Amino acid sequence: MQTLVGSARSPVPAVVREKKRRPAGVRSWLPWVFIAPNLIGLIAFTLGPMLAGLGIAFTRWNVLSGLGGIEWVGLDNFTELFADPKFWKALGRTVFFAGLGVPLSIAFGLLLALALNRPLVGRAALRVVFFVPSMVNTVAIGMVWLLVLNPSAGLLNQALRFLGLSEPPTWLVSENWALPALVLIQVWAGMGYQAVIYLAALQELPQDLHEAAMIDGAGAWRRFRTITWPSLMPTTVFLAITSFIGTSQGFGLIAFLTGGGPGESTTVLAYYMYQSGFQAYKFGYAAAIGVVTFAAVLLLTLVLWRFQKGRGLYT
Amino acid sequence: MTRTISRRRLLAGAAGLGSAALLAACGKDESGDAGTVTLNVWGGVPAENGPDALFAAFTAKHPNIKVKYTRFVNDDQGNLKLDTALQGGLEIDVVVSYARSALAKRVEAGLLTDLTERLSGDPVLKAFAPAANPASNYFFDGKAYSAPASRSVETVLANKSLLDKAGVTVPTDWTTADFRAIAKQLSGNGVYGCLIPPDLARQQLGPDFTYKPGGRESNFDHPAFRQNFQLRLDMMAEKSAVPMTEIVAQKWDAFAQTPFLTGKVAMWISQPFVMRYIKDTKEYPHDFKTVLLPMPAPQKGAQFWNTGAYGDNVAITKKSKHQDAAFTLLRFWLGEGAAHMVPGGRLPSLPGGDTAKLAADLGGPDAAKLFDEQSLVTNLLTSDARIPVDAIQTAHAEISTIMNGLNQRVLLGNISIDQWARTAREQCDAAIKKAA
Repeated sequence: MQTLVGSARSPVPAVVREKKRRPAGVRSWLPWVFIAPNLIGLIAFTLGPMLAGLGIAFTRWNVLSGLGGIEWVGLDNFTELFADPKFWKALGRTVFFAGLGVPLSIAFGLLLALALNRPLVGRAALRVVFFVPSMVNTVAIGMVWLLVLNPSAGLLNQALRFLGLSEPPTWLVSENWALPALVLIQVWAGMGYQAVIYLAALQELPQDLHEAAMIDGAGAWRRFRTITWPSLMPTTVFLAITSFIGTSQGFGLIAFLTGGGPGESTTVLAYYMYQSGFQAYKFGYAAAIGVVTFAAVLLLTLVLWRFQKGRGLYT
Repeated sequence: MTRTISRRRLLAGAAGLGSAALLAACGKDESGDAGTVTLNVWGGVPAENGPDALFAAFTAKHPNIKVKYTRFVNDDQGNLKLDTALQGGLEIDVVVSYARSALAKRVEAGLLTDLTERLSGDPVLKAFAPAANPASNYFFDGKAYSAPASRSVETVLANKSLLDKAGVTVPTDWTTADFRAIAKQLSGNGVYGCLIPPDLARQQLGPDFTYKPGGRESNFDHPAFRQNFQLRLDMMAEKSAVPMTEIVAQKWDAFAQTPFLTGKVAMWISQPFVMRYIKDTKEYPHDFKTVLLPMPAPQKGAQFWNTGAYGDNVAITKKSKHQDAAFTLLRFWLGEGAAHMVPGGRLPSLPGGDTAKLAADLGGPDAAKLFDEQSLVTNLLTSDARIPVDAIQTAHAEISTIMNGLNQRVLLGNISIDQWARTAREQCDAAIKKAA
């Protein structure tokens, strides 16, 4: 009977082979049955559409004209995209959105984790409270922030007026403030998740290093800078990568709160892709935006991955 | 013990299942009522606001044609849902398009049946054929792919209590200047005189106002557009019109009925379909009467266009297997059936009809409490307002998208009117050139 691991010529030691050997009577296709639901879903809803998207990026296709209306145009969509000022502006906004939002949410997540890692009354309840926004529906988050950020009657501007600011920003209604306001919401919504991941990492850190450093007279900041922060580097990189991916796909909040406006001030790449595909029905062009976004995120991921290598205490 | 299924048993099982399915399918066909067809109709009006009554009356007259109505919400997502359903092979026979851009997309994709011959050959519906004068329908390369089921004259809806309280009497031949003065008079104490002032560009330029003659260039450098924005910016500054920041923050561009029916806005320019909100006193409780005023003229005594439209464009899909039945429905919808849509605020596109009955249907049982009934007849039902019908379709959808963003920017004070005109010309001309 064929086995999944090990063979006569395998360099794996016999003991290891023995441990991994499948129980007698179990068929070779059985594991595939167990992973099939997930695998089928992955192929049908992730890998398949990704490959289809890649193919569509080289076509001109108005989805209303059906499959028969697909026309191969080679690199035309990419040529048009790189000459499109709207694309570059959307890319700039995406860089701003992610470049400001991701570090801020990681920083606040870390601060929160450090605070919640200390002995506090009601610590468990606080952890839940801060994690809740990560589980709440985007539209519900949007509704709450619409009330908070309303230029005239919103809580935030009322507070700012109370503090003496006569003309506070109009937030989501201002071309200059709408994107920073979305960053604020994103940070608020995401930091609970970041904190939970950091908390798990903090609890795994060996305490003996801290104790040794304390004996050597290192203060709290010195211990954080030389022990905690480097130890958390793999976690930080993981959070940075997942947050950048999440932010580059950021669509829900923008669609609900600003619809890409005012003007085009919150039209980031993901929203521009939606407009091109689902409003203008230019699916080839929208797919090209998706491919470029994917390539940019992949590049950033690789850079972060390289950056992580050789850093941190346990890498 | 492991149990195995032999190939023979598997094949026998599959054959059995196939036979059962085939028998079921045959049974269904045979049991069907010979000659009866069911039309699948997709529209944006809630079923209870007219479609239910319309289709019930239709089936009563044509018992061999049944109608299954599906309501889609007439926004981007709703239209996308309909378009993907159309493309995805769902059996849809009749669709209603509300925005010209949505209709254009469906025509350009070849999804709709060319109705030119049918409309031209019909003694009544020829009013919507390309040869009709004046035009009351959209045409694409000289062909008609739909016919409008409603004629929506725009009027100024005003809160009568606020008018009376301010002691305002609106002249029947009022002008934009009068409108502004009255709006200013009505403003204050948390009330804005109007939501948005009249669109001076559309009123003065009429059909195809966004294109220069011939349709090869956009027209946004025309002084009428400057005049239009200046009026609105001035009125927002003096608080006689709602500031754009407020409209965007409260999403009043999509839910304009809210500020009017909650008494925050005294005058609101809109079309008859909003009657359904005024009559919905459960959702929008209010204790004032709505009076309908004619649109003010840009200049005293000068002719001008109404900013309303022919709409609810009913079309038959090319894939429909029931073209004749679908056209029978279209004919009924626009003709004798149109009355059933009146309670929901869709006024017939064809002239005629009993004005008193239309007024009763439109106003509903509580009309005396909710409306100044005389104004309903004088300024809406018997209005002879000229409604512009656009003939140029080049890059219309792209121009709409560009202008939505730019209009918002100028009204929020982010760009000047000059910058607006320059950018609008540049971007729209490029879109027209590309589309042509």
